[in-house]
Amino acid sequence: MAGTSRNCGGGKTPWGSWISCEETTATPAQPGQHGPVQKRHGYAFEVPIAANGPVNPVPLKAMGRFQREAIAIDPKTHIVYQTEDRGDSLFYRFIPKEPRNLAAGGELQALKIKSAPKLNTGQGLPRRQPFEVEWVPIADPDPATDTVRYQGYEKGAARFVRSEGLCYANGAFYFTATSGGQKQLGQIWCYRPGRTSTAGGTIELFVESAGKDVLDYPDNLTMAPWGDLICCEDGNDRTNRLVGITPQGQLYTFARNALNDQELAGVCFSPDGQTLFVNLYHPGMTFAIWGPWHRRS
Amino acid sequence: MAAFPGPNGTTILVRNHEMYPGLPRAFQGVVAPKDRMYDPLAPVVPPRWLSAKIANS
Repeated sequence: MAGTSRNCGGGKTPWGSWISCEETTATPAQPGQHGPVQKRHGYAFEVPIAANGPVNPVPLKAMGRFQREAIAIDPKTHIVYQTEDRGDSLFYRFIPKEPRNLAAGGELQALKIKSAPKLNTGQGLPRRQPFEVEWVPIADPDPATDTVRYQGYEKGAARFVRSEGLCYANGAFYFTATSGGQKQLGQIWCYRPGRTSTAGGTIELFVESAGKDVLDYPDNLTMAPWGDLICCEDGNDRTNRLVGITPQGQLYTFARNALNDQELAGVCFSPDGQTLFVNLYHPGMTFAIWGPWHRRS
Repeated sequence: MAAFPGPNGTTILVRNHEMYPGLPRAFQGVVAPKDRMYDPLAPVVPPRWLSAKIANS
């Protein structure tokens, strides 16, 4: 697929396709931020992995137009969860009308913490304390300008500080808030859906960085076969690493970029769990690292 | 980036590759025909850090 702009983390579907996410809302009438464009940007696009040539790019407008970083899909309900890389971002979900057919439309909603409407989650929240969630509808998922997050916030949605990497594992969705936390070095949140699509679920602050030496700007992340999260750092002033996070929230350095100061991105494991793949953002390299990865050490 | 099971025990790896018109050959990749591109003009302006790399390459 080509002709889209600033495609970011994205995510896989359970039915054998890839959702590519534009992290820009460049608009034809508003040239400047990321250069002149002929069409509106800020959409998700689906790419079947069985494609053997360029696919017809169809913007999935009902999923929302915003600086989308990543998506992850609940394998039971097929609800799509989405992150937005903005300093005042929201956390979204998209309930499709038809399973396995995102182009058929659906409803876009934003996460609201029941007990604290319009909560700014950037600072001052306790770790490992679940908050009950409800979801507020986004009336216009495809506005002319980058205002989807304002619609949700006006209805009480919670703000996150640059929500980026997102993954599903063991019934929960983990996502990073890259600049969140007391030290503005990053948070990792854990959202657990309710039993039904109408149930709100709960969210809790899973990890918050206490210093650059342990976690510096967490970005993309994935669940390792041994049950720890593996998180890519996108720090600005030091070597970037892959940081492991145990289910208890303990952090450890798993690997580091010894080549340059660029971020590692796109970390994932092969379906058989034997190979770890990770990209080096510049000069655009992909690494395959063989395990065994079935346990931590 | 994501990994999917492929045929005959292979793994299909899907990833983004950001491209910008005007990049030196070393930075370019495969481009779809124009009629298959969502927007032929996007993207145009590389981010600042990449512009610096290009200027120095």
